[in-house]
This record gives sequence, C-alpha cells and structure tokens, in this order.
Amino acid sequence: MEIAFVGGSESVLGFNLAGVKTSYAANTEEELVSKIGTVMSDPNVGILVLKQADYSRLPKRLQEQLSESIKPTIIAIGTEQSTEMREKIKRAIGVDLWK
Amino acid sequence: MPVIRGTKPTRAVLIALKRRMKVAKTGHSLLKMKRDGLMIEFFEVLNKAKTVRKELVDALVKAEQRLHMAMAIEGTVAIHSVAYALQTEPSIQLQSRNIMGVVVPKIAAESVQKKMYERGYGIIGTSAAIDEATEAYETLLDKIILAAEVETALIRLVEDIDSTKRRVNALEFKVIPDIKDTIKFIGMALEEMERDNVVKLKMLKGKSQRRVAAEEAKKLAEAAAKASA
Repeated sequence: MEIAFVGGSESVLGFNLAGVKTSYAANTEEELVSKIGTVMSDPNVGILVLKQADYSRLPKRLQEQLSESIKPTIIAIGTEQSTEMREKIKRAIGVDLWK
Repeated sequence: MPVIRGTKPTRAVLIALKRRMKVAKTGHSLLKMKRDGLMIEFFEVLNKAKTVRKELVDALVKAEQRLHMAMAIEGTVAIHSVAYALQTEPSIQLQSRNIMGVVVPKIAAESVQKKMYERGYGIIGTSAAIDEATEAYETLLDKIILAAEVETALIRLVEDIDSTKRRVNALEFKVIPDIKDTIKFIGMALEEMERDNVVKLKMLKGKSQRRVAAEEAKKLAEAAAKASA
C-alpha cells in the first residue's frame, strides 16, 4: 500500500523527494475536497497525509468522515496542536490529559 | 418511584422483569470491566502518542527548513528533476487490530530511510542541500507512519470509552433502578390483591354462615310452633 499526500505545492515537492508519488497539489478548498475524494476512493492508499491547516479548512462533515476512516488512515500534520483530539479526550475521560 | 410504563401487575411480568434485572446486572458489570480495560489501554497509547506527536512536529519543522534551503540553493526545477528520478516508493501494510471490540489500524512498514546511492538519482549532479532535504523528508515519513497508527488508535479508544461510559451509566442510574422500582410496584400490587381476596373470602364466609344460622333458627321456630299446636 502507498502513502498519499494532499496539500500545498511546496510540501508536495518535499514528499516527492521522500518517494511519495501519489501526492497532489491543492491550494483552494474545492481542489482539496476533490483531491481528497480521489485519494479516498483509491484502494491502494493506506495513509493519507494532510496539513493541519488544510484539514481545519475542510467542511465539518468531511472532517468527520476522514476521522472515522481506517482504510485509508488520515493524519494531519502541523506545528499547531489539533484541538479535536484534545476535546475528545476531555469529553470522554473528564480530564484534559493531553498536555 | 419511576415505574416502567405500561407494565401490568401480574406474576408473569414479575418473573420476566426479574430475569431482565439479572441480565442488566451482568451486562453492567461486564461493561464496567470493558471500560476499565479500555482505560488501561488508553493510557498506554496516550503516552506513546504524546512522544510521537512531538517527534513528528520536530521532524516536520526540520524537513521544511531543509527543503526551503534546497530550494534557495538549487531552485525548484532541480528539486523537481531529482524527485522524478526517484524510483523506490515507500510501501506499507495496513492491518487492523482488535482491542476489546475496538478496531484500530496496525501499520507495518519497512523503514523509508534509504542510503544515498539507493535513491536512484546521481550523487554527483546534485548538491548536499537536496540530499539533506530528502533525508529529512524520509525521516518525517517514518514518523508519520508511526503517528498515523498511534493517533488513530487513540481516537478510536477515546470514542469507545465515551460510549461505554454512557452505557454503564445508563444501566446503573436508569435501567436497573427502574426495573427495581417496577418489581417493587408489582410485588406490592400483588400483595394488595391477595389481601383483597382474603377480605372478600371472609365476607362471603360470614354471609353464608349468617344465612345458615338464620335458616336453622327458622327451622327451630317452625318446629317449636308445630309442637305447641
């Protein structure tokens, strides 16, 4: 299985350097959504990598769909902390353990 | 006393409710154990996820820095051409693992890190900046693969802990007390009916006894009248 990346053209270049051929450049929100759709329907993709900033820009419904998917597994990378996970932990356990 | 609506106070319903109570109690203790088990698993994964996320961010920052450096030195076109020359693609195996009914992904991957001469582009034609950028992105990819597994597992566990907790609480504070109250209600209703019956029977008995006594008195009176005549 492969790793895929969707995001800005600069990062696409970086992932190309690491050997990730299935990386798509997408700048606008519509492009992001359509490219993510293509990747999601590709049975060969095991991990989809997104930038945290791009992920936060997506429609809430798509975000939910992405966070529930196992094949492929979605991961958002970025320097800023994702609040989604933190809130989920807070709600389930009752204490903010992500520090 | 919240009694389950629409229950009829009969012995059959009482027996059925007692059976349900047993099931609910077993389910409650099982779910409680599941919740505790998930919690233990969760704490293990949480610690892992924290360190992995930190490493991931570090690797990302470093990779982007190196890439910018390479772009500044060599220009975008040169990097593009190197990227086209790459032959090996990182491959992963995606499996799923089951932790107490929670399906989490398990990703097996060979290390993405390659030796410089394994990458597929000429060493002489490219600069060290590009090599460094490539290496940094390969490290980043390794971390991403690790983080993808751990973080997805964490989210899955958290979601399941949430729903299990709800179910435990619903059983403990709603279902079981309701059944208990209903059982009590049916028990009292049945006792009340029994007392009712006893009183009814006593009244009937008293009535029939009075009738028999009256008839006998009448017979005696008639006999006495005949004798005197």
